[in-house]
Amino acid sequence: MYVDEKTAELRADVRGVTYYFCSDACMREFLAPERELRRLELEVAAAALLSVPVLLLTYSSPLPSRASDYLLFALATPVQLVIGRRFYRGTLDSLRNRMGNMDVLIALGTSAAWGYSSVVTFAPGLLPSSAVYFDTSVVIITLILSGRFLEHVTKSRASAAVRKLVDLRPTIAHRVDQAGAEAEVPIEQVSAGDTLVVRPGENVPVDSIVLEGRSAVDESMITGESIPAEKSPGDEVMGATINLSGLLRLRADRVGQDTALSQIVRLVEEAQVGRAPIQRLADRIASYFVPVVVLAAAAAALSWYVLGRIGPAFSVLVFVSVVVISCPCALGVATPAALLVGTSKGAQSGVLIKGGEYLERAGRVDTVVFDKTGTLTVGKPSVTDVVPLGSVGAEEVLRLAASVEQGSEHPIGLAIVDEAARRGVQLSAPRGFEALAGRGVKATVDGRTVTLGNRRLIDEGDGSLEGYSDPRVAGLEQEGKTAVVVVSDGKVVGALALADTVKPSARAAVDSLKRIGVRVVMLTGDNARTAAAIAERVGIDRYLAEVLPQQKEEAVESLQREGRVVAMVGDGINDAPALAKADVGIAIGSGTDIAKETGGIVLIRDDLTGVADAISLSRKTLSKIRENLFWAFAYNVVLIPVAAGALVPFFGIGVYNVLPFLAAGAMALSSVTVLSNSLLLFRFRPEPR
Amino acid sequence: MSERPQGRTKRVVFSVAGMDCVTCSLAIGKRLRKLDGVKDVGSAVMLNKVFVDYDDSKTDKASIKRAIQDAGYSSYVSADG
Repeated sequence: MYVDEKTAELRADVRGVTYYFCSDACMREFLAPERELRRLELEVAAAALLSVPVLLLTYSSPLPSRASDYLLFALATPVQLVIGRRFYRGTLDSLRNRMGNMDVLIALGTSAAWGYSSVVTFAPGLLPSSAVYFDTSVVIITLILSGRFLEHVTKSRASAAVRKLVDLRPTIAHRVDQAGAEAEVPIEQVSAGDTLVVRPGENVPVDSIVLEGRSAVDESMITGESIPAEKSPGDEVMGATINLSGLLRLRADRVGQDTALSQIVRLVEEAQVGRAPIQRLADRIASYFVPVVVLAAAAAALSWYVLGRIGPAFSVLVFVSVVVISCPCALGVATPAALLVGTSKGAQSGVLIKGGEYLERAGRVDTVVFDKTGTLTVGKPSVTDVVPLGSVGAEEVLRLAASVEQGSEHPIGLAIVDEAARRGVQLSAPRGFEALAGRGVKATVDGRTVTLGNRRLIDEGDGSLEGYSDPRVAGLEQEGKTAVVVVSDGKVVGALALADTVKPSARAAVDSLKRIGVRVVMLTGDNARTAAAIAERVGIDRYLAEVLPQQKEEAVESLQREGRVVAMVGDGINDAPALAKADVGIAIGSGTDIAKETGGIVLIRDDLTGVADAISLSRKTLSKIRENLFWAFAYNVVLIPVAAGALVPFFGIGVYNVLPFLAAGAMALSSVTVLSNSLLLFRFRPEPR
Repeated sequence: MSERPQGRTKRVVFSVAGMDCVTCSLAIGKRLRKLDGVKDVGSAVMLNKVFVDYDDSKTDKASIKRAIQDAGYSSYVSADG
């Protein structure tokens, strides 16, 4: 967001840096976590300060016990009612919403200890024991608040990756008006169709098309690709990427919410919405958790009172320990924390996982199906071999063929002309171009009649080439290539072989998938021979040939019937049905319209090695989620019986004087443990290749 | 979100201060679903954000904000559209 510092009315100083804001909403969004953190800091400090005299008075009071109790009450009450008021407020919300929460447990636990002690202090005759437990309520509040403080800090570290993406948004653009004058404008004022200028070292402001200029552009912040991309007129450049070498004139194409970066941010944020089955279960448990825990605590306290006959004080301590040690939050945050770190990590390396449910399935994938054309291969033919078969050299064969094909719109013709251009071959203008339906083309080049075509052309041609066969041409076809024979004045002079070229990343992608134990299958409409040739080249040993486009879906389904968890990799448009059918669809990004791609996972950059990265990252995240859930359950399931009195047979009832503290400590650390464990996922590195 | 209902459904994203725990987000979700015109609610606890899909002929952002307020949380619109 662009804000003029001189006129900005909204400003805030945070740690010595002044920030200016465009709107009240912006400022609040920025400051809310900051303010909450300051408040917690203050509350923790105040509570800790008051716990010192409370602990001293409790364990080594120089005063007579009655006087000491009054003083303790005077110290503990502000902690309970003022510093700890957030727990009561939360409890009120919880009652109104009929949804138990953490605050209820803390409020109940601390109120029990504080209330019991207050009764002992002011109405000593009412209860058999004269011991007060003001220290319990004060220390619990201090520990829980410290836990929340730590939780906030860790949580903001986890969400920093998303904030970093948002911060990539450029703030200004250099726009050229119709008169050719250039002006610096805030990014919000740029609209589609505007002409922009970007100098080396500057950010591309919005998604644009290059009008003039050539330059290397660093796209790593969006695609994760570290090698800069070469851009020339007609190419798309994404907003927030950095122009490295040359001046570019651009036409703004997508602005605001529509830029690739905005779409990525939105997708990453929406991916955090809890829809993974694993999370729904945890949510359900969390929603019943609080009432169940309160009942369990009451039951345990009552049992000790009735059956244990050790007096009310012990029962109060048991009740306090049970409610305080229970932590629905650790359970609730176990999945979202790992999911956030996992998906942000993915976004940083160009792997967009659109939600927890996809991540969960991708983590269980054991079979990856690749569509061949356009996914493993570039999707258009190119010349692979030029074979002279007569008296002229390879270059002349290519020159004749390309001269005939000049101006051709046919993919084969385009490929031949491209190859000539690539080799710097000078072409002659063809005359009398003629297409021989289904067989080839013919034209006059430098006074010679040149015909290009398949073997059928030769078989059914003018008869002069009857019986022509050459093992070299047959050999090219054996490799799954398309052979084009070049005939000049009735004599075969050579042949060109064309094939759909395999993407440079295909082999490495297949290899890394195999290394992580995933079976790779290729689907193609080609005949078995061509399919075998391509499969061998990329290292795939299972393929299905002659699959019609509408059969891709069935092919995925039949693998699923075998009990396989299938990821289908294809382009998000042509392969949409098969992508949707698969357990998880992985779309190879085909431009800047990322949100439109079908599939639970989108690879922003056209690099197939992202498939293995997506699967390993999902596996890692999934196992992180399981670890987190284990810890969360361990805190709750193992420690609740301990808090309920399971240690009494071993350590005697004295242990319950300190147990509420341990309970609060454990509770304070439980969410932090889960969050910190999730942060470790930031260390994930895609496998080196 | 996966199921996008037909009609004039709009999506608004609220940042909700203090929505730190699942129980809070569950409570807010419960409130919002009671609101006529709210079609889908998703929440991201880690980002303190609530995504609400609503029918703009039946309810509006102000009512949604009020419902969140009723659940005990202050909020503001963080994204629209």
